[in-house]
Amino acid sequence: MTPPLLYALAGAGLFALGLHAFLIRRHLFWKVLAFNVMGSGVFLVLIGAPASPPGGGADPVPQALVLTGIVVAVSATALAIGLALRVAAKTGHPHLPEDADA
Amino acid sequence: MSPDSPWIVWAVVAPLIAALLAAGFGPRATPLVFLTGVLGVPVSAAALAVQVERFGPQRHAIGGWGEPLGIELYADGLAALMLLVSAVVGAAVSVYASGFFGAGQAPPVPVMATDGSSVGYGHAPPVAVAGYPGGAAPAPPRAPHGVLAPGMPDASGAGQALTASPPADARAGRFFWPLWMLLWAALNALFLSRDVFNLYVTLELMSLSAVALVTLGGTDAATVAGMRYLLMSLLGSLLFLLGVALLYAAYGTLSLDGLASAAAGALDGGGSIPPATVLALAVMTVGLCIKAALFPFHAWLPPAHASAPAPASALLSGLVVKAAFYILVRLWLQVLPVAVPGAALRLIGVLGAGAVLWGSVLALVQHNLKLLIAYSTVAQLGYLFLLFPLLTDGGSPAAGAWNDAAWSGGIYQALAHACAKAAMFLAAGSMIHASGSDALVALDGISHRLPLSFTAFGLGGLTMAGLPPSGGFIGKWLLLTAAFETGRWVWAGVIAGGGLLSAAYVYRVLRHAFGRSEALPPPAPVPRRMELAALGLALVAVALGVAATRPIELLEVGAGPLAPMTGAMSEPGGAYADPAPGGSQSHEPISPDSPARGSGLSGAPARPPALPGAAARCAPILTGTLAQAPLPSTPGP
Repeated sequence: MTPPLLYALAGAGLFALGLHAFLIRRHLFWKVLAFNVMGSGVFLVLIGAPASPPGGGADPVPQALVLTGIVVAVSATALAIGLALRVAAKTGHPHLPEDADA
Repeated sequence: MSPDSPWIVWAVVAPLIAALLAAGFGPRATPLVFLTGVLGVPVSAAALAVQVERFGPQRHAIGGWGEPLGIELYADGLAALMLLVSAVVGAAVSVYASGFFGAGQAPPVPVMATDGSSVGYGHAPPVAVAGYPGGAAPAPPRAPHGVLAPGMPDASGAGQALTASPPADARAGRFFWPLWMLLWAALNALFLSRDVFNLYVTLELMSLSAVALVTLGGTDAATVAGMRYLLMSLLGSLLFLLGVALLYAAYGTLSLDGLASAAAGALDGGGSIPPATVLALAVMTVGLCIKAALFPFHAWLPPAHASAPAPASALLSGLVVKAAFYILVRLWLQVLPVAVPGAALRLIGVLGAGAVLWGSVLALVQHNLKLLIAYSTVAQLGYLFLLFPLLTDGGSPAAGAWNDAAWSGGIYQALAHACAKAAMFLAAGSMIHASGSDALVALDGISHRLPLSFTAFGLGGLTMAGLPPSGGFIGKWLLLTAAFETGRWVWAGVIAGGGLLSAAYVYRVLRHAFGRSEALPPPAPVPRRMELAALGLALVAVALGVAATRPIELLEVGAGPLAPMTGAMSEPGGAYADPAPGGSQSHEPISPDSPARGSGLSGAPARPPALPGAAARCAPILTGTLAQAPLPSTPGP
């Protein structure tokens, strides 16, 4: 098992973990955290899965993609946390109404 | 009209400049925003459409850096048409919004005070789907999605001075313009993207601006709906990004052309489609279906679209949900048709049929105008997905049977629905502002008081029900034709049944609007430009039904799979290896200054054999049959 493959498999595992938490956790902050875990999983897959070029070194394209992806994820996280705070302030609960029963 | 003019760039840059102006200078910049964005986008979209019509697909490498490292903009007939619709809808919504948010108007004047006991008719802002002005009033009991139950007393309060115009506060207006211009830029860039990662970035930019637009109303319901929308949207984006990662791992390229030829080439070479490709396509499809609110992922849409301010609702229902559908069409039918099994086509068709029926039934039982229109969006989006099962004789599209009636019908339905649904949401915003309530019962007699808005709503309803003459009729008629030709009666039944249900829910609104109105307070005045913008857009939706030939011909430019399976790989090397891509692509006005191809990449990993050239794209796959398709003048079935 090569290190890149290890990264890719770890990424898939992280994505699955995050997806699980995203679906079952009710607290909005948990959901935002789970989204970030899922995102990290995808980034690991991006870095790990492409085969290294024959001449050695790393393929620069996935690294550029991950960099862009991190910027997008940070912006999305900021918006999500801001919105979650406003939801909590307005409704008094840090979760969506359909999740309120539990 | 020179083939080299970079109109394709201006379609993205113009709204981006407008967004910066609006964000930096606030309301003072509104005239400039109109000049750069609201005028700039339609002009560049129209010019680009003419270029595509005359000279074939347009391609532009931004900054001279082409694929694989740079970003390329690409417009074929489909992209040009989506861009045109985005321009038309966007311009009308902008005009409407300038009245709605009162840009540059005198301060609002109090005109009347309502008696708090006049149940349901208090003059609350039009976002009153969601409840109570200012958020200061005690929360009234609410129905499941935080939406006021019908006939519930509006908590706008006794003796509160109410305003005539504008219907929304200036604070929301201040944030509306930068967000909307950013959304517009992202949307146009998405339509013109030619690689999967750009599609991801533009999809995410579009979604984040759209979520912010939903929450502009500031009400509890809008905030909760925006949060739910954001979570679903992020989930969809990440699934899409996972698919991008898997595709890059499998093929080492992100470009749509490269992926298409690599996948087709692998199959041609006697191999099979690797499981990673199928997995990638599956996760991307799920992500896009969440974003497109395809049944059963539709639950987030109605509360979000209903609680947004009216111009934002129009943009979301008209344009934003179409973007995910657009990507899905590209992926399934043009990039990876070889990896789409026939069963998947039928499955997504079944989901579409479920959306048509379930969405229509839910629209039929709503008591609030905007929720009714939002559920109608769920139903009408279902029609778009009927395009997939109607494409071929049950085989995969890779079989080469490219049934143009279904293809044109599905896309045409998307175009017509964009105009008509936006017009209906705009008209609904005016009617809700005038009557002071979102409840259907409050619309009694609105046809006498706001004849223009009412007409716009009714004309939009024609497209929903698929009645001639309207763009929706053409779209549904083409889909029906495809179903009849191949003898698939069940799909035909769904299309016809959905039309009947649509007619029923539109009729519910019309019945109230034609009702008696004596006992009601006088309507709040509505700025004239709001009414005219909605009416103009509704007339465009009708015009799409009267003059359908030209758009459908434009749609054929560059249509078809990007890489046909047989005999396509005769030009190994292609664009990546050839520093001067001429030859098979000579009809494409590639700007002469695209030096990046094949240069400066010596250290990059080996790329797969590149696209077989535009020979595939301009193959006469779609020729002829349209002439046989019964077009506008034919009366309905």
